[in-house]
Amino acid sequence: MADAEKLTCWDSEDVFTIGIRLKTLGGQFHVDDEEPVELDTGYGGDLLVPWEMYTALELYGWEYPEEHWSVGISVSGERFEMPLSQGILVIPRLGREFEVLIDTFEGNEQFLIGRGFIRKHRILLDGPGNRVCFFAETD
Amino acid sequence: MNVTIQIPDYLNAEFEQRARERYGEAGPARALQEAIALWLEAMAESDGVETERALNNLAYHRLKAELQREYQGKYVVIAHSALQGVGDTLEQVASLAPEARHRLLFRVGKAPHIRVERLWQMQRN
Repeated sequence: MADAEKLTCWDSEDVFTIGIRLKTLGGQFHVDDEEPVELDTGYGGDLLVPWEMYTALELYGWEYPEEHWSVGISVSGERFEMPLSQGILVIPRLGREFEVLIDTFEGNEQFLIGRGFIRKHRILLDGPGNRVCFFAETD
Repeated sequence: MNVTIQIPDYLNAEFEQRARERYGEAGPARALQEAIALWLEAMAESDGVETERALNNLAYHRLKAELQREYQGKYVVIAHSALQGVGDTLEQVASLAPEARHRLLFRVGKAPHIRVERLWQMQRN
């Protein structure tokens, strides 16, 4: 069981979130301070960003070839491409940075941390305690 | 040039009010001109990225065999429809061709896992 001293936590009363900043490979941040971003085990990638954020940060400047993009399927069965880029997920409270793959798709407004990132880290979803905690020693 | 267009009432009411607040009586005409200019600028930028993306992906397919033969495990950048550089780390190549609107950057031979994402599984609403 985790040693509480090694946990870095965020209050999460409804959805489970951690505070992050997204940094492009060009050094540009999406916000000045941390933004709470939802952990979503229903999404398989590292990080899903809103389409407007993708274009505003010009993440297409560090994009993967189209043959490596994942495919999205809407509720109505429509298939669409998910442009894939890369960047740095910064967790200010931990003082750490992680290279991540970044998905988006046209019209997307969701900002999510997915299983691709969660699977590489030890994260505690503390429901009764209304918090999400990151084990600081994980890599 | 005089042009007659129809705008939905809800949009027109707010547009006229806010344009007049900002620019006075001639506000709607001035704001409309600005809106058209902004739209054209945004479309040119968007079309530019799309065009460069298509050309860079064509270049990638042209170069793919050579990259896999010569640069396994290396980071490469394709921009302006051509290979711009090769490096051992992401940092070495991340800032190549900064003037390009679109770039491909990846590690040869380290393809990310392609997934099928179902929106209904990852959307809250």
